[in-house]
Amino acid sequence: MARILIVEDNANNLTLMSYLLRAFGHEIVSAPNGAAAVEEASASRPDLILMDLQMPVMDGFQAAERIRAIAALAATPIIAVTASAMVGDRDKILARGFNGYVSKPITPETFVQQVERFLPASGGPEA
Amino acid sequence: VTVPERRLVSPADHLAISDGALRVSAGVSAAGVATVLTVAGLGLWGALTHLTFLAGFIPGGATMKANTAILLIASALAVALGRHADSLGARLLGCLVVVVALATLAEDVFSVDLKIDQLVSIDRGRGPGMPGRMAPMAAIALSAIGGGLAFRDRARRLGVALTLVALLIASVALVGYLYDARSLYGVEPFASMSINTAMCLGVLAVTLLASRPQQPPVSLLTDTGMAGSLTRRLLPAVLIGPAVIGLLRLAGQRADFYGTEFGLALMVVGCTVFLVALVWINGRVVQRVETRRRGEEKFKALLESAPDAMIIVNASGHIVLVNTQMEHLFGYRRAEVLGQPIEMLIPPRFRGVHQSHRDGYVADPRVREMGTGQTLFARRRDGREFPVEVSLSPIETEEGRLVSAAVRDVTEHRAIQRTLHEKNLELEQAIYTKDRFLTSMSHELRTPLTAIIGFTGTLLMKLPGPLTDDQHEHLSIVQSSARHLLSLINDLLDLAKIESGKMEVSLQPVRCADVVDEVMATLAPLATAKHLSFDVENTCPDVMVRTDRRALSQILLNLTGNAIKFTERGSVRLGVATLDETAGRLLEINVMDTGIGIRPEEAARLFDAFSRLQETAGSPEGTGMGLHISRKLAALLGGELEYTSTPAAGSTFTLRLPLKD
Repeated sequence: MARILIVEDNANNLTLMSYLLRAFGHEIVSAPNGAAAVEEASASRPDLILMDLQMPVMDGFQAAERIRAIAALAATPIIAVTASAMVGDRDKILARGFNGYVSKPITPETFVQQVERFLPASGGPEA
Repeated sequence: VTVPERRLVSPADHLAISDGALRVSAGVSAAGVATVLTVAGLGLWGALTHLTFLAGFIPGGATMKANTAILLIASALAVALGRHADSLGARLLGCLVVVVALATLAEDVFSVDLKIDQLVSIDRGRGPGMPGRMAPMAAIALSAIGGGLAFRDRARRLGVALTLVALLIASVALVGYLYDARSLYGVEPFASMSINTAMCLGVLAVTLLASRPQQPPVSLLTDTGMAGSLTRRLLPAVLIGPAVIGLLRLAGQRADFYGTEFGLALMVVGCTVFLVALVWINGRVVQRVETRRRGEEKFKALLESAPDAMIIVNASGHIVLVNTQMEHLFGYRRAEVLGQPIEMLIPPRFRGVHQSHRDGYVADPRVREMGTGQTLFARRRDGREFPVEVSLSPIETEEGRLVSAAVRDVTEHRAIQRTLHEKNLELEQAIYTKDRFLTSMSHELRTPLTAIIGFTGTLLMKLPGPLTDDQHEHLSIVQSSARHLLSLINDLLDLAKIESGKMEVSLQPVRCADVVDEVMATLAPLATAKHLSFDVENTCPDVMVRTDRRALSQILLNLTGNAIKFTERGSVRLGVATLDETAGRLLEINVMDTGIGIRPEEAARLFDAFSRLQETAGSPEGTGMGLHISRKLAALLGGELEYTSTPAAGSTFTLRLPLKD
């Protein structure tokens, strides 16, 4: 099981992702925007972060940069969840500190599998 | 456009006479009067004192009679009296001359003695005729002069005719003296006119004519136009030429070089040659003037045909020539601006600057085209100002360097520009608003769909709990409809972006095989579900293409998705190859299926937006935009999208992209 931080401003999406990941036994913490995500990440030390890119207050790119700047979180995988994540945007996302991406709308049948691929092997008991 | 023909000879054309000509004629008049007064005065003195050398310049020749001298003096005074305008005194003196001269003539005709011949002085001379009586020809000439004086301003034509008669008589006498005075003694009635009388009569007649320089025939001499220049050129030649030729002929005959007949023949030939030469020279002059005039007319016509107001200015900045358009634009009449400084057409506050600019231009002139200078302001006659554009070009002429300025009113042009600018801003605003709308629509529409698709998915995964068969079926319909709606929205947004030119492609080196593999991986489940054989034949697995990865991927997804959708059995195959064409190397990707194919009549609408072919109309999937968007994207990438198809046997769609090494 892993502790996963979901950064998402849309309540429905947050509920959906949380529900799916909890259903597969993961522990979920959440933040509604980039700024809150930086605080939550340093407080709860998640094993993986799912980050929406377009959010109020601070967008996903900025938040990822801040989190990477925190020494304890420098190696934590950050996964982008974005509607614009078509094939061509992949390079830009990877270049800006993300380890990977999941495109939105998410496919419930494969979502958990996609996320779990990025969990560090040593990070907690693997399901 | 008509250019008014210049009137060459015009009786009332006072404007065509220059001040110089007037001064010359006044001088001629004064000199003539003085000459006649002197010679006639000497003659009168001679008659009174019997000093015959004063009255007759040729020893032994005829002498000027006292009456002749008095009449000549009276005539000269009359000319002087009326030198500027009609004068009663001049007319009365003229009448006196006529009366005395006619009375003398009557004495000769009727052989009576009216006792007037020796009224003043007793004639002791030995000349021919009655003692003291003037020669009949002198009497005729004097009466003609008197008539000329009397009718100078009252019956102009008659006056001129009489004056010319006097001139003719005097000329005959003078030419006679020139050739041989002696041979004329015996020939009445010229016998006894003295040379000084003849000279006085001639000078008087000329002086009389010259006293009215603005009237014919002298007006022709003083004319400033071509007529004047021709007359001035011809008259002296014609006056002197034949007389000189005659003199030569006479001299030759007297020296016994030839007889009368041959002499005459020589003289005729001489005169002919002289006159032909005159005519020829004359023709040359006329020709030159005409050519110049025609050139000027052409120039004026050209000026008139120009759409702009044209103003020709000389080096000192004075207006030399303008066209009708200039009159309309500025509200001035031609006569009001000619000769005026160009600055009169400029608002006062710009005049100083303009003057210095103008001096600079004249010093270093070059053609300045319309619209290349900044917009200036011009001033109408009524004081209103308006914006103009001015083009300038220097013209080198005989009168020095001129500058031609074409002036165009740009008031309307500016208003249109302003309106266009405003419309553009509005349009930009509208496009911006539309783009904002599209972007927010994209987000707003997709977000709820994400939730619908997502939670339908969790239900279908039975995560919340088990489903009945009906529930499962209904939720499946919800899910596929939501997915269809999502693809519709995505296509619409893509289409809007492409149509508005907002679709940006970023060209980067892309490994073609990567994109093809992704597409294969994405669509393999669909092909497998329909039991289709699905593979790729890549003859150039390492080729890199400079393109937009996302656009290429979307095109291949569309083409391959369609192929799978419209094929019920058989295969869908992708082929990747490079081609060497004359235009350069190409990357060619073929998507081949064994599906229903495309009928020829459907070909025309195949790539149109929202064109779903009949066979596919019942299918729930597809938006009818896939091929349309694909072809637009292919064009954006600098490539092309084509197809070949056999109905019921299959289709091949071919994407070609340029390869740069």
